[in-house]
Amino acid sequence: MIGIKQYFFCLFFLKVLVIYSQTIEINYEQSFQNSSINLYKKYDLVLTDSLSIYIERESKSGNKNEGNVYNQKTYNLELGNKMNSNVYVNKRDGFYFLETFFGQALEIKEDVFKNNWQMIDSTKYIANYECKLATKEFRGRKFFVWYTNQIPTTFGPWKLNGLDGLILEARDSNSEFKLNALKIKSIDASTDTLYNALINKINLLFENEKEILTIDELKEFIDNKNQIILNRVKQQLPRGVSTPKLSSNCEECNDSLEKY
Amino acid sequence: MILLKNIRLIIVFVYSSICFGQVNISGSVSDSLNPISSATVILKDSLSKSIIAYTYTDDEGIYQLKTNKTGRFYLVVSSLGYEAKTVPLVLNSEQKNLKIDVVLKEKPMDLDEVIIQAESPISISNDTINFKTKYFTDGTEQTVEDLLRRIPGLQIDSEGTIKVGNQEIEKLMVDGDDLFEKGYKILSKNMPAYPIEEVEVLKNYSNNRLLKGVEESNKVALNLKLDEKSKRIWFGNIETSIGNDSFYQLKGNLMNFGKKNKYYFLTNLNSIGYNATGDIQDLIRPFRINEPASIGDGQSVNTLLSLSPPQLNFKKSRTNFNNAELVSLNAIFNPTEKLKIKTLGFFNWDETDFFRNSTDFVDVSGASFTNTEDYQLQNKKRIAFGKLDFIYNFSKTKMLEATTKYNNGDFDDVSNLVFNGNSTLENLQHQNTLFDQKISYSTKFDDKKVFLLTGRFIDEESPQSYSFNEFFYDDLFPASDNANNVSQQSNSQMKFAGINAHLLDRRDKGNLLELQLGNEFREDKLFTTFSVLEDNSIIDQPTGYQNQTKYQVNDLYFKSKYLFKIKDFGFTAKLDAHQLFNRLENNNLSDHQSPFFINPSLGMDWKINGKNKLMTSYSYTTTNAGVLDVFDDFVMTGFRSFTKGTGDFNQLDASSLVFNYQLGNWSDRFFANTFIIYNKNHDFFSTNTQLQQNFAQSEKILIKDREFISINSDLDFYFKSISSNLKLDLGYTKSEFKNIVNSTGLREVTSNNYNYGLELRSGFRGAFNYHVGTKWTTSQIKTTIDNSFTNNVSFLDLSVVFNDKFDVQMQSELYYFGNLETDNTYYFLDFDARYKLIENKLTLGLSGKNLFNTERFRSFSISDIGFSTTEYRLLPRFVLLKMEYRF
Repeated sequence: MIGIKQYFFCLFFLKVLVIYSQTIEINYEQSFQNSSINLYKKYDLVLTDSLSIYIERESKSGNKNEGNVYNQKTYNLELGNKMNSNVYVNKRDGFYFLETFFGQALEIKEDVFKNNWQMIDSTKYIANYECKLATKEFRGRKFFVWYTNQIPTTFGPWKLNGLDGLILEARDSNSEFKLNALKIKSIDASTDTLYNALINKINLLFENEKEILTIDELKEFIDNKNQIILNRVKQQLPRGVSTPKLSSNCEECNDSLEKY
Repeated sequence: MILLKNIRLIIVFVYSSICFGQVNISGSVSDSLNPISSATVILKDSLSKSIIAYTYTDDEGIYQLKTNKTGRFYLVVSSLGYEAKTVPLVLNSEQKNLKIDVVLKEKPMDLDEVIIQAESPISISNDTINFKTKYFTDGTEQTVEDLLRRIPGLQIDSEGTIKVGNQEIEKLMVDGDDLFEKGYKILSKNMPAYPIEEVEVLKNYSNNRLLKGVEESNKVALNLKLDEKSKRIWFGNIETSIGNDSFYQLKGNLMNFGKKNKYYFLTNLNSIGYNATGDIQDLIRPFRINEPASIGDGQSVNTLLSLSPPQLNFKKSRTNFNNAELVSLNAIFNPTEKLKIKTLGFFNWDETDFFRNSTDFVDVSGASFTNTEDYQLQNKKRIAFGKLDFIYNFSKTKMLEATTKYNNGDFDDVSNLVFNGNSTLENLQHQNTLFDQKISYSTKFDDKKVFLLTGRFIDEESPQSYSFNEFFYDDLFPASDNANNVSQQSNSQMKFAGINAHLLDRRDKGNLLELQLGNEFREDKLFTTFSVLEDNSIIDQPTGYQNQTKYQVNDLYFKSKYLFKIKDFGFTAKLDAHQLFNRLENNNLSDHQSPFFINPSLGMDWKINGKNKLMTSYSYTTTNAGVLDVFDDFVMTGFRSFTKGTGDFNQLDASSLVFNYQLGNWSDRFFANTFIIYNKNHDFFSTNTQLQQNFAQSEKILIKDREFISINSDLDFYFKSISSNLKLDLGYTKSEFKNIVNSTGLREVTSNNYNYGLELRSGFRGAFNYHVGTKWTTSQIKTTIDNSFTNNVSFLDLSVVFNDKFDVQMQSELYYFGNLETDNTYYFLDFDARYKLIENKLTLGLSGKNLFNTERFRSFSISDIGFSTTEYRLLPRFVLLKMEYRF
């Protein structure tokens, strides 16, 4: 009798404990610039022990200083809307993300990330955090990141996960991709309505298994779209001109961030 | 039997070899009471610190890791809100299962908005400082000039001159291309600010790309970078304003800044006193001091007569009653990679009126009188200007530049003057025709050596026709009894031809050797005919008042300069040698002269440390007399003034000493810049004047010893607590010279000027910003009498940005004149309100100028012969309703 009561009591406490888990939010600025692309976006990384969400933040365009804009952030996740915010989610059962390809917003489940981080013997301070340097090859680029053990998490911004600390700064070897943490703060999960709304939306987003593509399916989709464009070009060529072929060996093709 | 045993053994061996090296690490993670789920467990190599494997604890706090590595490792267990724990462990091949339970201590992270790094609005690299405009603007900026006022370190004065620190910029480029050179104001005053994303300040700038790194340049240039969506499309704006009493303004800009071709068309029609060209002279005649390939810059025809409004110390737009039209077409073409063609053309029609009443009190030996003038000046001008630039890059190290300029101006100035009760009429019609051709070839024949060869030809002519319908000069021309008006026809012509070879050799350690060899020939013709008329017939052309002057100067020169750097010191030594051939023909009498002179100069600059810089220099210069100094007979230079030159050759020698100390950089919290300039003219041209109530005759005379000293200090403090910048401006100027008035004998004139000013400017992020300042000026002139006065100008500018759509700017000024007994204080109030009806498309505005309707403005000034009070008529109060459409 007493045993069962105590059992349920413990279970109750366990449930409470599971709910309590610190949530922190980090604001990042992420940019990708080369001779043909110039993208600059602000992202928020919201993470707990079991979940991380890295989502693009819409801010009012224009001339206000950043201090005022932070309070007016919005996330845009209406499916079917071409201007979706990019989202990258780390759940326990895998990594999911939403990006727009050829005007279509796609939900994709990532392949398991390779555990190929290499440490470089170097430290520096970013704000008050002691950071170490690590590097990894990923989808055709070599990334260098500074991360800190003082914020223990394996989750990170964008698709950079798997270290034993939070990444505060990242760039690739060509300095085309740059990532900087701007602000860190803790969130009170019980009272922050924006955060809770976000969690609900994310759960809804990656709920339907059938809608989620794998990386191979994504590659197929990209190839199909490229082929359609090529076909349209072929249709307009005059007589006697040989048809061009899709080739991945061109100088300008190194312009995208990831090579699938 | 044995087989079975063996098989079992084999199986056992095989089984253990399959399991060889696979260790299973597991355990629980808890906080001493309860298990922690979703804690991170990482296995790291103890030496390389690389992560071998990682996992998370499940809902019961249990984790499991597998690895087949051996050696020394760390097991790092962490969870948000707890202190991470590191467990060292050694794995060897014999272990199969390891159980490691970890207890974590609570340590909640207290993160109260830790700010790591703000995106830098300013980035500095080598010689370039880059400002992202969105951090400095508040949306109220209309033109590029408004935008540049917000960039820290840039100073824009009331006429629109842009300076970085204390130095004026060479050019204002758009995406790397320059359209206007020193005439950049036409761009900064008209181009809208909204497409500009970044402003780059380029230090140590070289106009000639081959000279970058070779020439010693502290020049600065600005480059405006446009945002992506504004490139390759046609964009622009149209603004129309209508107000009371036929005040209007129509402005239009049409631009296309593509990579290959850039086009910029602009137009400005207004009657509100606004001068859209900035200063036309900077566009027609840009002047580059001592720059390689600048031969012929600054050579222009000299004219004697001009009827134009004087420079006043407040906004010219307040006294400029105008009706101006300006159309400008500009383009840059890059037809091939090596060739660049720039075209610039503008047409300007302007009709300006200027009104002034003045009373002059003259008290000097032999003359004591008062003159009153009621002056109404009307200037009509029509200017057409075209410029064509070819730049051909033969290779990375060779280039050719050819510039052709043509200017044609027509001016008609009429002044209605009531002089001491007499109603008179002055009329000056003049034209200006200029043709200018320059070709410059530069080659970088070694990594740090450049050779330039430049040739230039200028032909400029300025005929003038002046008439005055009264005759006040009985004492000068006693024979002309029935004369009742005078006229003067004059023609000034200038031809210039020059060639210059310049070698720059940048040695190691930063030393620079420069050698120049050149020949410059200039011919000036000054033909003046002064006639005394009775009605329409000429009754006399008095001798002594007609000029047929031809002045030819040929300067063969060799210039050398060596810049020598040791540690933080830089020493500059210059030696110039000139062999002149002068020929002067005055009314058929000719003379020639071949002077030779050497001008040395020494300078030193010392960079004491990052914050302190010292610069000093001494130079001795000889200046050859110009055509206006050598003509022999009197020329009429105004309705009551006649001037004549010396009739002879002259070279003037001067020594000057400059000292400059700079503390801090303009981007520091505290910045101070002090200048001391001392100049002594060993000989100079002064005047011997016969002064009477109705006329003054001046003759140029050569006098020895004139001194000038000026001390000026600018201090800037930034107060973080009130987010404001305090600026202190102190200056003192003293000059001493001598002249002769009414046969007094040489008298000494000393002039002292003090000025002290204070300015406080806020940089609040919020809706409200202010800029307040005051400046006191005390002037004193001492001859046999002592005249002095103190004036004050104060201003208060307020800016309120109510929201994204609506903002109001207000500017108020106060002028106080110390010596006027009555009417000595004047207030002005201007405001500008703007409402954005459709963001980035349509904006409505309301602006009012001179709201206190101050119609007249009286000021006081002193000179070495007396003092005068002058009253100017001002544009009355007007309110404009504006509409701007952007596309």
